[in-house]
Amino acid sequence: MSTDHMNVDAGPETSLRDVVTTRGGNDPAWLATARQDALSAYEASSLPDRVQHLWRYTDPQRFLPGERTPTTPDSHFGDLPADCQDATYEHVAGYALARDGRVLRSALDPLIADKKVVLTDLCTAAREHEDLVRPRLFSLLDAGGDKFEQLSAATFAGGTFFHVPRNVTIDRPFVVAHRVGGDGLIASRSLLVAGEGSEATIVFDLTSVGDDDAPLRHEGLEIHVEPGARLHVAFVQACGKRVTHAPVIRCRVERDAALETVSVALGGALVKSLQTTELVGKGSDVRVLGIVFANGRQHIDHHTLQDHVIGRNTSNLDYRTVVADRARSSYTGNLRIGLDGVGADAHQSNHNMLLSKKARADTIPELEILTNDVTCSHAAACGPIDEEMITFCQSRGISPRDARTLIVTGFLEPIVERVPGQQLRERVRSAVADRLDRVV
Amino acid sequence: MSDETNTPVLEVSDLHVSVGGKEILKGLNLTVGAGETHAIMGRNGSGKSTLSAAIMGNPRYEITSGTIVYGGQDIAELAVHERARAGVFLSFQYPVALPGVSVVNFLRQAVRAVRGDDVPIKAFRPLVKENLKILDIPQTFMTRYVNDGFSGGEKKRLEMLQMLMLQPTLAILDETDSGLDIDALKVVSTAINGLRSEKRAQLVITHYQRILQYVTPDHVHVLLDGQIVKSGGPDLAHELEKHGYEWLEKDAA
Repeated sequence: MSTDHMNVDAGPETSLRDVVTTRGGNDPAWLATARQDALSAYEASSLPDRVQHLWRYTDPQRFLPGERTPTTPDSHFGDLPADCQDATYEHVAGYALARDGRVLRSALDPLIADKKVVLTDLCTAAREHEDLVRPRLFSLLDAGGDKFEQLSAATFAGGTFFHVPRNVTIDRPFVVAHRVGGDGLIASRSLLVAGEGSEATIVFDLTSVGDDDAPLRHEGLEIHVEPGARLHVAFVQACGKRVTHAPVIRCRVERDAALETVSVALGGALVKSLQTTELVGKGSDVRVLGIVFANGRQHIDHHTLQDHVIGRNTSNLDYRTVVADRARSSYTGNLRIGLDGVGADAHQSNHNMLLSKKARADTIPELEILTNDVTCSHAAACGPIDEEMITFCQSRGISPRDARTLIVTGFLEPIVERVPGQQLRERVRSAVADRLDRVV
Repeated sequence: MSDETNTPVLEVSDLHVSVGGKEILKGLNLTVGAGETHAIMGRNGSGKSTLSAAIMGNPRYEITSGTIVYGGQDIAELAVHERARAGVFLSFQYPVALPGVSVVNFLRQAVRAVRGDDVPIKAFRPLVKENLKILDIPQTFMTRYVNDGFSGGEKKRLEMLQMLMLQPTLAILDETDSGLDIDALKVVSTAINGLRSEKRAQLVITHYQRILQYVTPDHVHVLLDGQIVKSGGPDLAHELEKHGYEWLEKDAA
């Protein structure tokens, strides 16, 4: 399999090497070397095995760059989202504006900058904060070398670096607004670090420049939640319907730390998301929340893993999917309790609502428990809206169409309300409402 | 609705209703005049809930013959929400949960749908507050999800709250009394009595006469095997309590 695709990719691979060398030219030597190593690993690895759950429902071939060449990031962001216009930092603690994988500009509330919080482009951080970046960057990458993760590690144009020092607590969210355009390969790497005892919230707001832009977007994120820290992260993806998006999110949560992630997937033609969370200490609490709302011919595939390497901690996963028209969602999830996972309390649930006969949702939640004395559960369901719910709403005068809107909105709401930042949350609500308007 | 004051609110004639191909109502006749409260009693399986579902228009209940005339108009062709907008209300025996839909949002949408016009928040709030007080419901109810994780008693109070907000012309109360303790029963009865007026009518469906101590019916009907087999005044409920339904079964046979 690998030989085949290597032949197919022979041309562009050459230019990938050039790009990696060029982009590495601005990096410190250790990072330039890491890029070259990642490219070699990318070239040497075969395509993921489709027998495994991870790629069972989505063809990995479609995520190869093929003829696409890496996009040179545009230096112009465009109109600012509302929450990035908050000049007095009343509602946000800071923001970053990114184009095509690179952070163009960032700004922090001066009071927060004084606390040595860093929010900047990853390449800049690699030069200016080597002590913070170097020990952690790529440390959470799959040692086996997920092919596409190696691709983003080699070719990334930039990405977000966010660091909250020890014991710093920030009550307002940070916002990273990221726009992608064109039809090339856009790769980014981000690194988020919540230092010991710190507390922060960061929101990624991903859109595309125009509806016709059709980039292939490989995005890698590593999230470190150090002992006793609390981090809340949201990913809101509302790209146009021609974007191909492949985020890989690796999280590591240490003792007594808490991580909540909320993922909202609304856009894209084809999305393949992978999120893994390692619980490596006692007393930690992990929440993995997500919604998918797909229509038209969108294909959205999510895979999650919560790995209780150490026990006496909790994880809860709640993913909710709505599919309409001919859209398709696949969810595969694994809950793993390792040999030292005694006392783990772990739950995962995936519910899918089908709004048309031709929409499709697959769900496979798995458990892999290697020790005793744990509390685990998993639940999954797929089905249309319950007719009795519609009749009940109708008996109060509400039309069947308004009833469906109400019920679907309600189904998603417990996750949507966990999106931090009022403006972003309202935007998610109105995006959901707009889409419902078209599909119910 | 007709302007003539003597038009009955509800006229059910020779009603036959089937569910899943099985006939449940077998020629039921019932006339409910404006200003009247009727009680329909009968044991489980006699067709009480089928009657209420058929009046409300639940599509799972098939009317094979007979008519339901509401306010002088045959409502066979009206969908459930159109009947609700015309003033019919059903308090469900088993209210459905709507996870993620807050009570306040649901009430607002319902009131808007039934009135055909948005209610300004300034007018809506005091109205809710007043009704919460009548029903002895805490304000915290409003932000909870409709019937989601509610106890039996809470569900029934929420049904009553919806009824008070919608001010229906015809209120059908399907075993609203079941599962209520005596305090809750009194509260619910107060709500029902508060809604009685010259223009409205009520149909209280129950198999105990307990609620009828608080809501005094003008007429009592006994439903047996899909037909009304006996009608009378409030005393009929007491007789039933004394003799049981078997007394009427013998009569019917």
